[in-house]
Amino acid sequence: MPLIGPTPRRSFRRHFLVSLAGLVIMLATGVSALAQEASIQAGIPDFFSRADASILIRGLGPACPAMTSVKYVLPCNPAFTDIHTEKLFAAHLFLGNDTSTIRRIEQLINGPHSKEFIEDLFTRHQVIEMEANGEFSFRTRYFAAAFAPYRLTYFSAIRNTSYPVISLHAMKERTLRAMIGGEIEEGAFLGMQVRGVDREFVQDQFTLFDAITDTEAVLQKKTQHAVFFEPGLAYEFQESWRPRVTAYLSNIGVVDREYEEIDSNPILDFGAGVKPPLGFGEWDLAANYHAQKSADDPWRNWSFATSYSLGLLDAIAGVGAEQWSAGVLTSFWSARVGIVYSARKVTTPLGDELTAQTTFTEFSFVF
Amino acid sequence: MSFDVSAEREFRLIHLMRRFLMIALLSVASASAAFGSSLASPSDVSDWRRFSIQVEETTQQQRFEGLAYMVSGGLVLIGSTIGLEKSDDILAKSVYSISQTLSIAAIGYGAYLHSIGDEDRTFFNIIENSTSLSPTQKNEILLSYQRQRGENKRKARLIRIITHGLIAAANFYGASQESDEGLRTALYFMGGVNAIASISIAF
Repeated sequence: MPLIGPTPRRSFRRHFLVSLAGLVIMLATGVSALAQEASIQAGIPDFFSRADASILIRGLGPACPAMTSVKYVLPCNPAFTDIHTEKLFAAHLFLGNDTSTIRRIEQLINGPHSKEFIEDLFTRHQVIEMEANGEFSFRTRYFAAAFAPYRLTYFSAIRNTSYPVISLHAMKERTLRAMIGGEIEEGAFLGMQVRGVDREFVQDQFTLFDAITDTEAVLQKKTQHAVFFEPGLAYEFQESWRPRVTAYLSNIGVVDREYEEIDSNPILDFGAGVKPPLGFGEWDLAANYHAQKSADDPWRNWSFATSYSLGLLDAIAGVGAEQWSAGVLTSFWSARVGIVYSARKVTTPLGDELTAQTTFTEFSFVF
Repeated sequence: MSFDVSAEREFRLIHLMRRFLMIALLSVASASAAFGSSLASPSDVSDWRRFSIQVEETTQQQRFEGLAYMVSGGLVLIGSTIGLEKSDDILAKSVYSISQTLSIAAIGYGAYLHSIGDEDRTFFNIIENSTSLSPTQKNEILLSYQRQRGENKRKARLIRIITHGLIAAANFYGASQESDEGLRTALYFMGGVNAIASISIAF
């Protein structure tokens, strides 16, 4: 009697996709429930306390975990560890906006907080968003690692100029990441990232009067040590447009101290993408659902990204409900530079809507 | 004959676990490929006829790639020149300036790749245009060329093993003497990477 039913390969594909869909629905429900309990962080970008920092990741925006075109740095989704088979060891310097803030961050975290220093915080622009990261990354086919000894993030938003209130965040981090992943069956990718983070930060909201009368009360240094285990899944169909579905669960791990300022809830990203075949260059498109933000308007959780690579050029763009970004990277021989412009809508707890405009730059050397 | 679904699932699960375990092991060993391996080049082919077919294919790829570098280099050159004019930010200006240099270098590289190509193409053209050579002589010359290439590869490999080994040793020594914790970890990381690279090239 002939065997009737799917072939083992098709059966595997069906089981994998059903499992992936089940996992996504189950985790999306759980994560969305957790997300509703998360406190609003006074307009501070959520990627400050989670994702790694690189120009590609900022350029592609929140849809990065669904993109396969991330080169030279560790992929956003560990399932894609072996997508790019080239081996490299690279050093990256990533800078975003007002670099004079770098000195300020050290002083905010470690002091001293003089009266002049505090007053100066209130004389600056209405919104300042700054990020800097130095990183070494190592990548082979099934394994990748990165060490960022010095990552800095800064955010300040001033509202009510007659009686100014500042929302302030300054953080210094050290991160070590290791990633393994590969194709476990034709088209099915599985990966895992282990991320260790050491943080020192200050984050508060205060008036000039509060700060001057009791500086130490408003700028208290906090520390956190954390280890995260972040799995990723992807399935790529063997069609001409190479359609794919992806899932990435991040921020799952252990922390020595919980702070409401740092969101320690798990985050689920799931997405889909295609690579339309072109005669010239490589085009990648993806949509991503970020099951973490406010659940009242599901459209706000969607984001889209695209990239086009040709020769030494990589053009990237990302768009979401609250932000957009676009940029260009050029890579030739050992040198790689990039620039990304980004605009993000910032809503303060009192409902003020401001726009944070950032220019990110990156300088890399590939060994 | 019946179709045992649970056995099939079990088999699949074991198969998947085995594949993932293999990937985990490969991730350590994949360093074996790090910095070391290269794709088979036409010069690995001992037969002249097969060699000529492969050189043709490689030439087509290189011409295409060369064109891609020239077109993208031109686009980046235009964009970076405009960006350099318009931008006030020192970091943005640095990016545009470096991009401008890279784009000119890339256009030159693209033109080279398109019209000249690698040494296999040069070697092939020299021998192919020597009309007095018989097919047997061409095969002999190809064999000699391959031996020389193999010897050069071995020497280059040894040089890379030593270079990465020395960089690793220097980084480990630097880390052992460093008092700053952040810098010490960075040096150990770089030392580890170079040690893996050195060992992987050796084996």
